[in-house]
Amino acid sequence: MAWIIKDKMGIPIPKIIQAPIIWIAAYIVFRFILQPPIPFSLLAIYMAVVTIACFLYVSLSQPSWEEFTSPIKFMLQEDTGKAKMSRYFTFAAIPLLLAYGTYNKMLPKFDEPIELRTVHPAPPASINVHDKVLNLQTAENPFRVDDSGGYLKVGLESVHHGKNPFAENAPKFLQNVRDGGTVFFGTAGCFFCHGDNLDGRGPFAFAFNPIPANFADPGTIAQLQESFVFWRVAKGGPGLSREAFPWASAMPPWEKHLTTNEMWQVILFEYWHTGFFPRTWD
Amino acid sequence: MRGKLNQEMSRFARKTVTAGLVAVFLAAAGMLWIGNAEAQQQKLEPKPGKYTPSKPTAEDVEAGKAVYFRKCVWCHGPDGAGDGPSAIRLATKPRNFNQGTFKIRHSASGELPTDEDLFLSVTHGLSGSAMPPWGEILSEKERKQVISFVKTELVKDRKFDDPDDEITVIDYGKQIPSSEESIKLGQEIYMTKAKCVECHGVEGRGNGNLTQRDDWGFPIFPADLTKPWNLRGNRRDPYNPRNIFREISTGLNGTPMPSFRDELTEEERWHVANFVMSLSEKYPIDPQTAKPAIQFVLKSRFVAEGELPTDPNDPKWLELPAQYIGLASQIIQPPRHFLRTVDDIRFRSLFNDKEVVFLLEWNDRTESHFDENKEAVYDAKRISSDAFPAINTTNLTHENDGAAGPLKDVNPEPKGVFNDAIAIQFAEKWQELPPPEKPYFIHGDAKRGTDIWKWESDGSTKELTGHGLEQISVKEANKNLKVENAKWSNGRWQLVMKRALKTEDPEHDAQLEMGKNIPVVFFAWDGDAGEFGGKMALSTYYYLMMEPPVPGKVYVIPPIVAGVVVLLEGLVLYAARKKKIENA
Repeated sequence: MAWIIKDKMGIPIPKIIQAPIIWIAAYIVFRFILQPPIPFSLLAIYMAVVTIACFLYVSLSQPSWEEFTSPIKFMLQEDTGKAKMSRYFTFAAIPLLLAYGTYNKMLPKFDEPIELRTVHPAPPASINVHDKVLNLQTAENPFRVDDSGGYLKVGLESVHHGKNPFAENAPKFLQNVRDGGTVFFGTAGCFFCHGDNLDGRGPFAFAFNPIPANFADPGTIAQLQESFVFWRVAKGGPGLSREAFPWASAMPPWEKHLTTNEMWQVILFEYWHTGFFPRTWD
Repeated sequence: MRGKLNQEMSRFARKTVTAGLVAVFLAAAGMLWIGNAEAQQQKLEPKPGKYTPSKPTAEDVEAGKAVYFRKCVWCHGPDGAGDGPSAIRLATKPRNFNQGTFKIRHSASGELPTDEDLFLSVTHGLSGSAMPPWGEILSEKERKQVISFVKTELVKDRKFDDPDDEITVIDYGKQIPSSEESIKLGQEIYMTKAKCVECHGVEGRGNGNLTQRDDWGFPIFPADLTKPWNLRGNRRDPYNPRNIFREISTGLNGTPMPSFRDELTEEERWHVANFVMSLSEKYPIDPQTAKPAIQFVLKSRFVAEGELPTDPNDPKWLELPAQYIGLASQIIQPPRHFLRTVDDIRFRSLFNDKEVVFLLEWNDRTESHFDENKEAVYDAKRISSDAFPAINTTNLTHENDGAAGPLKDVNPEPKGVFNDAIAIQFAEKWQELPPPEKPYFIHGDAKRGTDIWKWESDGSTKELTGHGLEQISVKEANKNLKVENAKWSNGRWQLVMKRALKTEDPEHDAQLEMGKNIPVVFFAWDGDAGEFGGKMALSTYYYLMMEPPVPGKVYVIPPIVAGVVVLLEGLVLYAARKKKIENA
């Protein structure tokens, strides 16, 4: 970058400034821009390499090294007013900065402990809901059907998206969407946490940690099989495996409050409302 | 050499100045941009004076209908009568559009809202109700279309294009910036001339007149002005006095809140707005939830000298700011409860080498004490009215059987009034649980027990062992918990609770240690809202951190480091000088 500014734009930047610019730019990239964040040990290794590279860069040739060190020499060895000023400034700033850094490092810190929670843990092979065994590999939503009762393969139900589920002669699919919405908003009250717009920011969401799932985000139900969502709805927080913190999630085990059909309908409603399709094996 | 160096340095100086100028320019641009955000918001507001609503096209109404029946019908109902499926669960009912009565407006009292008002409400949502910010889900076009549909098809009793139904947009006039003097003047008007105090209470917690009803016959309670993030019209900008000025000036149609445009001068309304804004803690707002941002580590500060405070007004508490704990309703396990009234707790804590003490403060409009013959202020009538005769319970569910068939009312309305109460829950032997494992947050589970410290407004303090909502037993043996002070005043409870760090029963009592993240959960009950047992407000897990005092070496080592560096600098300088002399 420094090279671009210098050679292409004709703005000379002294080497003593170039090196820190490169170093700081690299730090910003590794620390803030790179996602997901890298651990500190890795950052330290990367920055060590960058430091060495900076030194190699400024010491490529004798003139370059001269240019790099000349301001330092000037600061140390000359006795003009300017040199003195810069010397006093540098000699005062370095110990103060290091002392402050040490103090900051030593101050006890009380941040929230880092707990890595698995948001979508692996589902069990089968679950038992209302005395029926459900194989999660093969389970399908019984309400994802057309008027003749034929199963609507993913994408085929898109004809119903954006249509009115309250219309007089709504097709069966939309009637089930309507029942699902009635469960979501009425019987169950899912919206208190997941929100009227299904974005996971309902009236109670602010109080919970972990926060309720955002179905409007392409990273949740759009990425999941419908049977996985059924497992989450039926078993709720307490049905999670250990790595997903079953003790902390406020998601109710809905099998206690809803029938199996109501749970499938509410899932149908969630996909319809957000316009997503469940993930499939094919 | 030396001349060249000088040139080099002065070039360097020029560059530095240029860089500085660029930085200043960028900072100024940033400030302008922030100022601009506010200006943008104000640009969305209608202009003062006479106002003519837009005339929607038939296509817009049709497109808006599609949006409505996908996104809005679930609360506002197929006919816009505010009777969608969610209406049975909510207190602050979804708006019934049929009468054309809207709360949040720029128009004068009783008038229809402007297009901009409806657009802002749909875009930002209505805080403190279930209406979410649709600006994040629907495009601007869709929002305008759905408003067209509501205006033409669902508002039935009035017509937006009726020339006799005129709209006058209020004028903000010249805003008076907040100052001690302005706040004092505002308080004077609040207490006497405008009589705000009669509904909103002396300290603004909405604990005045609690027996009023809205236009549709639903019970309605005065706003708690100390929580501006819950006020409907805050537009996700809760600390802006403009919102308060607007609502004082227009009144909230359909509610007992009148307009003060004729009673108070423009200046007086600004003073009242400034006073109202002075009533709240200015917590940073989390843009995602539009509520105070929550820190899940609760700090307790070490007291080296003197006794731990027992009075809520002791200046020692001011060591640390009050931390905000959000509460939701317990809608997870039977008996489910949907309408908690306590939505936050303000937390402070101190400790010494023997004891820990907590100051808990929470707003509750009513001081409740158990009395089965007294009529509760909040009851199931909150969610029913003559307009909703069919709906008379919050607890319709297939609870615990999962069988199809008619919904059962598993919790008939509780009769009478219960005790107000609050509880802190710790985990039994939390030190031995492999992190991050904890007992289930609602009073624990079969495998992992909890230690619950509960206070009730009859003055009782109980230490409980919990293994889930159904498995709670009182620990008779030990009385470690002391409630030093509990008082209700002007719509707020203040409670000081103390316990020894260590007790004689480490099996069942949480043993507290400093410097560790101790898992805690909070619960609150409002006796006038039928809350007892599992019907309560609750949080999920927080961590209590009793901060170890700062060790002395923190103040000793850094100066030593600085000293060593100065020595090194001296060596470098000496070497450089020597070299220069040799070279010369």
